[in-house]
Amino acid sequence: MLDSLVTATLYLADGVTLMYLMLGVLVGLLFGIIPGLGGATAIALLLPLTFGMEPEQAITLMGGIMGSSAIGGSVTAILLNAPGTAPNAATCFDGYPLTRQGKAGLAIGAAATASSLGGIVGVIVLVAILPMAKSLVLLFGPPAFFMLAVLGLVSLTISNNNMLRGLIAAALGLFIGFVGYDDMGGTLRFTAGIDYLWDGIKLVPALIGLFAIAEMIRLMVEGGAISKVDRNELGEVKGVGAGFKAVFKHPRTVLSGSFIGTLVGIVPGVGGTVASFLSYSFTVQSSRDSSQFGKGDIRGVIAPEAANNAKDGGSLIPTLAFGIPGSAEMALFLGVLVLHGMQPGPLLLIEREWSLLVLIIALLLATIASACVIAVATKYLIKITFVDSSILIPTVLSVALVGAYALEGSLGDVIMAAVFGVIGYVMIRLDYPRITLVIAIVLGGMMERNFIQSMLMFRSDWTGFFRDTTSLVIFTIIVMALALPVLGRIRRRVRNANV
Amino acid sequence: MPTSNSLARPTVLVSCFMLMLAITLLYLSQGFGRSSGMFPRFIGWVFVVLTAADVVVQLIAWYQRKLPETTETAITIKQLKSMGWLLGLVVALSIFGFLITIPAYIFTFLTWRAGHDKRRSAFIAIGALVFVWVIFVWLLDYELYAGLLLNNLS
Repeated sequence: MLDSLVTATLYLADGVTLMYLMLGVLVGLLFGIIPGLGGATAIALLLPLTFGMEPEQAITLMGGIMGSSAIGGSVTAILLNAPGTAPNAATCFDGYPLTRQGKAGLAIGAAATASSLGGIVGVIVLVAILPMAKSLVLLFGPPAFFMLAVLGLVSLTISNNNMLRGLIAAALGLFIGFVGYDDMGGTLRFTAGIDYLWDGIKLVPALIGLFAIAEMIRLMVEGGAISKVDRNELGEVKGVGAGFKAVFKHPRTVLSGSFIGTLVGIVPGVGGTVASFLSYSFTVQSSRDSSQFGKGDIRGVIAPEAANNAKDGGSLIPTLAFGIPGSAEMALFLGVLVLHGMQPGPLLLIEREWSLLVLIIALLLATIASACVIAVATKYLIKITFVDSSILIPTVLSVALVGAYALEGSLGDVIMAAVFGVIGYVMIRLDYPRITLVIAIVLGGMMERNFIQSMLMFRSDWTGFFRDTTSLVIFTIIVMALALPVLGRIRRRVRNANV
Repeated sequence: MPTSNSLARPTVLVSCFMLMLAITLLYLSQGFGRSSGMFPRFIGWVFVVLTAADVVVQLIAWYQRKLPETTETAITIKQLKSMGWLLGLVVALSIFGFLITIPAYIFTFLTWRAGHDKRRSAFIAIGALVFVWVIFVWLLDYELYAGLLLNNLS
């Protein structure tokens, strides 16, 4: 471990690698600040650029984006009441009232510092748990891996407003994953006679389409500036240093937020939105004086931001150890690893430990660097949200399609990216979650492999899934996860009917 | 201006389409061998059940008139136009290649669709071309597609 740590640190001390890290931080901040885009779009756009890089350079670039996009999103939440990414929505509750009181700098300083500290706690937990995860993963057989993947998809749909549509998106994603030549059975599946589809649906063009292109279609339909807030409503950004100090006056809030974020991050599919809202409500409920929450209490900024960034460390655990991504960003990051010949899972933890440590240190540095950039350059960065989207749309569309083409020099990939762009937009319109679809595409192969291996083990008797203890435990969690929200809804209806 | 939330208007028709898709995929899965078809058939049945449930939910909502109003024509036209711009880009790329299409597309989009002045549009178009060339061709050494037209001419 120590050897790997030294190797990783020396690798990151290299000037070129540091440049990639800073590039990732700047891109992550910009995409985080722009409402509706976020880190996932940034990773999708930059993914093709990493093809010519060393794997660790690509990991560093992505670490930069992942470590900074959450902090970027808090800036617009505080200044414009428009969260850059969904998890930043909880920051609006107290961040925007602080801006209205002329304390935008205090809120931004606190958000950046809490976010950095949360990120650090998340990374520490990740470093502590990863060695244990190595031995834990080895206990999992094919049935348990299959059930774990199902749990990942199910927990994603639960966090979605429309559970049924989430499950439908998951099933559709699995079918998309089936397209192409099946190595195990030697059969062509769902190719419709198109030669291009023999290799299956390639992940990178699909991701570029679902995130970058779909968002541009949405912007095209909505029109106007990216930010829907009047430029005159923008508050003055002063007193960032006071925000930094304010965080250290509330260590309990930072720590509770960070641990909630890390724990939520570990559960596949739950994501940052749940983490930040859970942290916010925990802070409100556990405070002696909660009268100022919603009116501009600084703890209302610290708690969600600490949780939001801490969840990245947590969600890397299922991603790296089991190959089950916890969020869209992690699914895309998995794409980066696969693109560079790294298969997430137990072997990765053992064979490429130093590469993972590069990621961990990059994440750590990115959270600190992005907080510094935010503290210094907020008033300049925020201007990007007032750019007319019509300038952004053709530029991003062009770059996205060049990226889709460049990977394999195939025009088919360009068409595939465009098709997935339309699919992604339709999914936004009709309330089908894209994240579930992406994660199902990513998990499809692994799920099928483990399903078939399990069925061979059980001699085609599917009840074998319930005879395997680990698999049964995970299945029980799946049933509970599906049943609890439904039961809660029924209970609320009965209570309302009685009232 | 509609937001992404207000744009989410599920309809019975979409749910029926998804059910038809699920049935088709399940039907196609029956034609695969034992190993290749095992998991698609399993997921196919799950897909059919889920989409059928969605149709029922949508029908109940429609019957109770809780279903949101259908999409306005203006938005539909806007969406079709937006997808037309994307389609135009893909077609132009395949005919003229990246290095001609990118500046031409950005210039046309900015002047024609967004109403920006020609000088500014040309500046942004050339800037984007330089960006793509520097990053992809110069730094990363990718060979960008020259287009059917240039390929045939050469």
